[in-house]
Amino acid sequence: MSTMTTSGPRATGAAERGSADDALLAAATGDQHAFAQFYDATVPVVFGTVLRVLRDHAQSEEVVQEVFLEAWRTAVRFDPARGTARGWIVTMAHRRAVDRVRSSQASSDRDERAGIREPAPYDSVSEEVEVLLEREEVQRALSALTPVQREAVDLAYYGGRTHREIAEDLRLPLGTVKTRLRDALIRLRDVMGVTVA
Amino acid sequence: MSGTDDATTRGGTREDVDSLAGAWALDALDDDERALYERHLQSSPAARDGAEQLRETASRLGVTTPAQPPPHLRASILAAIADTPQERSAPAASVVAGARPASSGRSVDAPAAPGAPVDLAEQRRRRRGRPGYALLAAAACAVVAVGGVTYAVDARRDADRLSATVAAQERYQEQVESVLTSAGAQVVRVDATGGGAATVVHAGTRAVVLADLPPVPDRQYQLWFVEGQTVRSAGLLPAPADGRSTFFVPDTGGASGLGISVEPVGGSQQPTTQPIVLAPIPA
Repeated sequence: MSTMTTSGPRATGAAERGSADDALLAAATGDQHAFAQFYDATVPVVFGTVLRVLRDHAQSEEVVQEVFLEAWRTAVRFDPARGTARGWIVTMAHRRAVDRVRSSQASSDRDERAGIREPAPYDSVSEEVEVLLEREEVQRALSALTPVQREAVDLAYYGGRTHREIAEDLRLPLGTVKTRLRDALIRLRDVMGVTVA
Repeated sequence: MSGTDDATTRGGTREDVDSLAGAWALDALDDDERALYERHLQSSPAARDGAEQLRETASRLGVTTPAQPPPHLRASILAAIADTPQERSAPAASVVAGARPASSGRSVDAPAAPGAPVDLAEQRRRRRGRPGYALLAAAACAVVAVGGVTYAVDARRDADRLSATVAAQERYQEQVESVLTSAGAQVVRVDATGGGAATVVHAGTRAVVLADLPPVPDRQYQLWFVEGQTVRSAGLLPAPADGRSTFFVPDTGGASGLGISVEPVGGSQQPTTQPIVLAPIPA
């Protein structure tokens, strides 16, 4: 903190960020109505992320249920100075999904590469403009990656593969994979404008 | 070797982001690596800021493929929270590993790695509750492959962590850490027959075994030195903490390998079952 003022990563959809953050902060004081708002604001990305990792509706719903209960229980730990509320719960959800993939017997039968395929598009009719804008922004950022960076990110984030496994899969030195993942995220961060304010 | 195959970014930013930050942000570390890396983050605010930015970035990837769960899920969750108590204590304002009581409840301190309140590694670290990992953290990056961080509080007396004295715990942990932080540490990871894996970190003739093995009811895992055709016991693995056992081997002697087998409680003079792990000891 001495060298940098960290008020945390700022997403561009500031209004959206603010509402989910405020809702979670209020929920931390026991406000169930605020928690419902937090759920509504974040669940499409939470469920979308988990579904893309697990590719199974029933399991994904379980994870979403678990993770929102955990979020309710531990809401006091959310620190808006260190990230967004949506980022907080998506991170929790993603980790749970990945843990499931890794521990599941079925994971060996799973075609990792299939996990990369994008699922059918969102069918909601009520997407708000800022949601659309953010999606476009992320897509633009993804298109700024090199193909090998994109591949590594997809294998890791959606395939649930460890960097070690990715190195084996792609027959690359581990150091190359680490660098690739890091540089890809730095690129995404810069294009998306996730910065330390 | 191509650490430079991908584009660099604008000046000054990349240095703040160490090499594992990307893999960490994408959940592409295994549990042991993650725990080590998060300990590193705990000791380095700059690294932590950089890594958290990347994680926030990663959390936005799912924006491209949002999906709505069925309405009953919402109803079910909102009904459940009505009966679910919340943690009440405010988290500490900032990180700092500092003095965290070994017995600390989950609610009182801020998560070392925010956003991961359900992280088992985090819980393990809390239980372990010991400050001062700068050294280990520094080594964590050098010896990435080192697995394990799940020190059993007392590997020799598994059932009784709480009654072990702090001094004994710390002595033991220091031994474990001195191996894990050794500059020339070598790491051998072996998958176990029947599931699980063992990681052995060697520093000279000292070693730490990090065993991630399925539970064996009414049996114990026993560690063996393999020396040519002879096998001698190296001790019994402690009961796992969160699924993992840590075992410090003070001297591997002239052994060429370490084995693990399932034995009756109390151990055997010689292995009575086929070893499930055979890990060579690096020369």
